[in-house]
Amino acid sequence: MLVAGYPEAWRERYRAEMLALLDDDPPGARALASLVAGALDAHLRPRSPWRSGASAPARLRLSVGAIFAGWIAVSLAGAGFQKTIEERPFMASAARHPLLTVGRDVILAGAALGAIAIAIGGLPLLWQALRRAAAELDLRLAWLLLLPPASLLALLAASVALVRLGPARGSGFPAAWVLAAGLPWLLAVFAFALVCALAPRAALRRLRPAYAALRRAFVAGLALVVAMCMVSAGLLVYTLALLAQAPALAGQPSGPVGASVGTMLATQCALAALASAAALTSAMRARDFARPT
Amino acid sequence: MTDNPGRWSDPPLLVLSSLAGGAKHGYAMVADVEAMTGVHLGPGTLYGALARLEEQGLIEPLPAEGRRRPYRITAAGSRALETQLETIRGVAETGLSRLRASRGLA
Repeated sequence: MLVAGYPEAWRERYRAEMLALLDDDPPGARALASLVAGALDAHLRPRSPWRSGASAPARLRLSVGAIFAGWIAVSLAGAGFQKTIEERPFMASAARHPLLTVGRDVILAGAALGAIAIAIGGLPLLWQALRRAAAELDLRLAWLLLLPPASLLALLAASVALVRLGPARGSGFPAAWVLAAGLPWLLAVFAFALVCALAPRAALRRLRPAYAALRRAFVAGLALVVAMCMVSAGLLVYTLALLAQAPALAGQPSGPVGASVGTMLATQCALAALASAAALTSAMRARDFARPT
Repeated sequence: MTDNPGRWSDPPLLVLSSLAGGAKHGYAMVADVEAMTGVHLGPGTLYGALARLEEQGLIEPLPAEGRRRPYRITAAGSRALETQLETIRGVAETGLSRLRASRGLA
């Protein structure tokens, strides 16, 4: 329990001897703080003695899962962004400012690259997992594979129901309706994203694909990281251009950007940037394990 | 790879100084450093230092004795420790002589 916060590879290397030390020198509050700081350091600055002891497939599996989870977060930010700018004033703005067009095009190019990377790296693993689940009647694996599409169907059904039950289009959203339905729907979207991020990771762990398949997925994951960085950069360019030119855009005194829209765009940029940075870090740490020996 | 184990109070330097007296496992190092300097190395700090020193090639693990694994200083570790301690001694001697001189003037 005391060493549970350390990375798996670190535990494989040092767990026994550190537990022996903790038996000899029972930890107090300062020792617990030392353990927390040590675990944080081990995550942030993995060192070669224990990192080299980790199995390459395990490291690649973890990194592929982390990159895909990052892509889900970037997709969530991108979908929110698309929803935010689909209104008419934004479309009018985009026609008047070249940087908005550039930002949007970079986002679209990133999205396309991401889709190709997932098709190349992810589909073979999905096919392998489906075959394994069917051949070995692995119900847990099947459940993990079914969870994301089932969650998507549930979310779509809830969305359709909300649209039908909600206020008429153009009449605005009453505060009571937003509290009663809008916020739970938003939480449902985040729950769906969480399922999409975690279920493939758990499925990968159960599937334990061969090194060659993981390496191919990891290389595709590197392209996915590039795609994430493109989407993040595009979001940032679009948002900055929009904020800087707001008064002059869309033929409105305040442009299309109000406080709530500005907050949403900033949140989407931050989410995409953080997810991209996390995926990039994970990829950089695992890259040595994907090199041919 | 760097051969600088750190400042005088850094855990890696304390660990190297402890191992200069012979191979030790974790608890023996903690007890030795505490007796030598009064500093009690926490478990996270100790193993962070051990990993760093091992990565730099300044110490090496020996075969485990049950759950305990002793470590010993390498030749590179001995050289690095000696260089660092000489630097510290130079700073200490210079500082002390200047202190004495300033007291003599006062």
